[in-house]
Amino acid sequence: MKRKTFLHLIFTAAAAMVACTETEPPVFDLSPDERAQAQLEQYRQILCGAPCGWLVAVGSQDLGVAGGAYRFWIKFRPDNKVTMCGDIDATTAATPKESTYRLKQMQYPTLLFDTYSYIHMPDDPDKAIPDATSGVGLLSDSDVNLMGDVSGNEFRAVGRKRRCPFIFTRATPEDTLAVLKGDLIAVKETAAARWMGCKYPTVATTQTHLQMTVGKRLSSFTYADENNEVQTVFIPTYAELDANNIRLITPFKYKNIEFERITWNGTDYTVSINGEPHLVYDNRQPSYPLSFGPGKPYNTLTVDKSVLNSSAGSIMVAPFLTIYDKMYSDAFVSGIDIRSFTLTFEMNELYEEQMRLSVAYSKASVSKTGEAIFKVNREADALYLTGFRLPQTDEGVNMDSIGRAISGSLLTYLLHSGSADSLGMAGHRTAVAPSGNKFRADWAVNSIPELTQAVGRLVKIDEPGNYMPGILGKQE
Amino acid sequence: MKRIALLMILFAALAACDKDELNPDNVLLGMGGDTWERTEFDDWLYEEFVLPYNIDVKYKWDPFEVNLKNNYAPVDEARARALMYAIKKVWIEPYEKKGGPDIIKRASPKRYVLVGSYEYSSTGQRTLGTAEGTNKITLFHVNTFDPSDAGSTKDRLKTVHHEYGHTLAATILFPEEWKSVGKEFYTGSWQSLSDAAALQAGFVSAYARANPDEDWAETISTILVEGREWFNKRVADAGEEGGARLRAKESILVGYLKSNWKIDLYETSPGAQDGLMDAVQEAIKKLEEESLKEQEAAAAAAANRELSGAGAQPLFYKSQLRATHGFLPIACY
Repeated sequence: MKRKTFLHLIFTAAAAMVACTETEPPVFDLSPDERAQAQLEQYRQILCGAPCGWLVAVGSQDLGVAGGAYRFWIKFRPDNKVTMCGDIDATTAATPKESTYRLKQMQYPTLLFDTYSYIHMPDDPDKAIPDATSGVGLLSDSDVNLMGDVSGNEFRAVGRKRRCPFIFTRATPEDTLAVLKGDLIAVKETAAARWMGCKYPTVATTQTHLQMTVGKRLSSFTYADENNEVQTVFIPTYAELDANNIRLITPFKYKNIEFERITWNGTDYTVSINGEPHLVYDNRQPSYPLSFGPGKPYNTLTVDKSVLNSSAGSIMVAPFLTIYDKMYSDAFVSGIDIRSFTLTFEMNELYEEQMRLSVAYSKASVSKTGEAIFKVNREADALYLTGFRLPQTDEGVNMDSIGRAISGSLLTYLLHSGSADSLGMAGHRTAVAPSGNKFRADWAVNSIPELTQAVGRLVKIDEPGNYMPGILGKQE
Repeated sequence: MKRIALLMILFAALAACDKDELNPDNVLLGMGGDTWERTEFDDWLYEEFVLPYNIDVKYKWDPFEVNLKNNYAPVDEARARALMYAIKKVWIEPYEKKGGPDIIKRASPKRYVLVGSYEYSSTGQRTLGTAEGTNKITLFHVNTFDPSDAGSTKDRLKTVHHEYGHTLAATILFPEEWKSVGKEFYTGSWQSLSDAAALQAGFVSAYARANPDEDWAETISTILVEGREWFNKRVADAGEEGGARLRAKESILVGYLKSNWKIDLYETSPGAQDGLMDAVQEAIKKLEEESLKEQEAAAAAAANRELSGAGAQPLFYKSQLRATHGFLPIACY
């Protein structure tokens, strides 16, 4: 036993001595602190080494009214001073403000703008930007983690707190001149003006139709995925100083579609996908399926002839115009002047789908509304209406007048089967022959220049040319 | 014996392996904290706060000085300058004038941290200042400080005097009887109570009801910053019982300052205006007057520049100058 202990001690001592032998040379010449300091110094030289400064964009996480990309022109000086302009408003865009910065080794090498300037405004919890949220601002960042190669004319970085994306672009003398003229704001207006009149900017590829809504700070990109589900991606965007490019802070990617700029070629916007330019054209209606019904993005359709069939253009087709006009004149005989009607698809208290027909009309120059409720049935993509009732009208004693207004041509147009009589509605004697009408909801081509709202239609499945168009809306 | 020898060999072998030599030539980086090119403001802070009082003022943003979970904005340097000047005039100088030149050196917080925005809690509650012990004071919402508005000065300096009230009490504790005046009204849920209800109970604010320490700091800071007249009005509005409690606390405070710090809170004779409260009030008024004069002078200078065609703002950036004159900058500076 003693012998075993003795041998054990000998081996332990030998192992300890061998284990201590340092044979590996140090991997780095300098200590971690020295290397971190050297890295910071390199970053400092790069930032200060841009004689005209940097154009810096940051994308906020807030995607509300004021959220999106904010852009700054920033000139770093070796004495820790920094001068900047920002595109918050016309004053900040053209009035350089001096503050300070420093580079600090935190978890990553970090650029701290350590006294207040324009870059802090989107991040200011005191609501420096009016539409921001008190306590959090626009969920942006102003401390910047610098990583990787920053030596080129452009590099990306991320915010320290929220990981907001940053793009640093080396400014040219022309950029600086443009900034000091206030172009950080002016280019936004120029770029936005080019979208005027283009209601549904769309890019068509073999894979999908991609619809975009390009704002001054934030853009959305909508498409139907492989399951025909509508997907919308929001990306902060900004107009570059030459006003010919709208830059996405992070590239848009879906399948083999990837781009990070929307480029003005002098007459049209285009995007480059796999090296090929693709025209952004006005599709005049959304390029993805309409989602219409209770709880969906749209559940109302408002038919107002004065809007849909104006001198500027018409969305109403002749067959439906005939029906509308007949309905109007029938009602008018009874002193009812119909102005518009709205179909609202909703669930009732029994969790059954119903369609509420709300008619806005005037009688003896007094504005009134009346309602009729239809039972909705679904069959695959089709819907059809069976039976209706008149729950109320603000006319009180004269419920029949609304029934009379809609019971003729419109009821015949809408109802699949059933009639006023079959539902036992008192005072209503117009018979309705079951028609077998079935509909599907779809977008309508918006050919009226001044009409900016989304328009849709109820298309008769067995008579597609006879559809009811209307302005789409959402009612909770 | 052999075993002992073996153990000694083993120990020697292990000890011999220790590499604990320190290389005196190694440079320990970052030991002095963050560094930057000193500015006139840095030099002024050093002359006015560090040298005489050993008070460090940290105005440059450092996320590790505040709660990492919250959102803040850094301080605007011009506002920081204005606030620190106000602190010097409205806190330090009145105390030195009435309590002797060494009072701030004897007892004062050693670090001030300035933050531009409020500190917001998860429930939306906004904080103006915090104290970590009696060492570090963090002042928030500095970016709206306007010394030409006495209300703004009172708002911020009340926080400074509040925290200094804690420092005084931490150096020489207030009398025990302080805790017994209206002790039944102290509550942890003071946030849900109104200032009006607090007044009726005999407290200068709802926050004063948090505990005797906060009550102390709130009472001394409110009297100093708002003035005696304001306090008398509060006593009158507080009702019989509330007013009596406020008077009792005022009396304890007056006695405490006199006996421990040789400071008269109020004037020593009618019209003398030689109390600490008078000095603070005078300083607030003077600061407002000074600031208004500076603003008028700045406005006049801007108008002159406008008339001379130089523009409303000084053209400190060379390319801006060139842009104004219509030249394309060939190289930037």
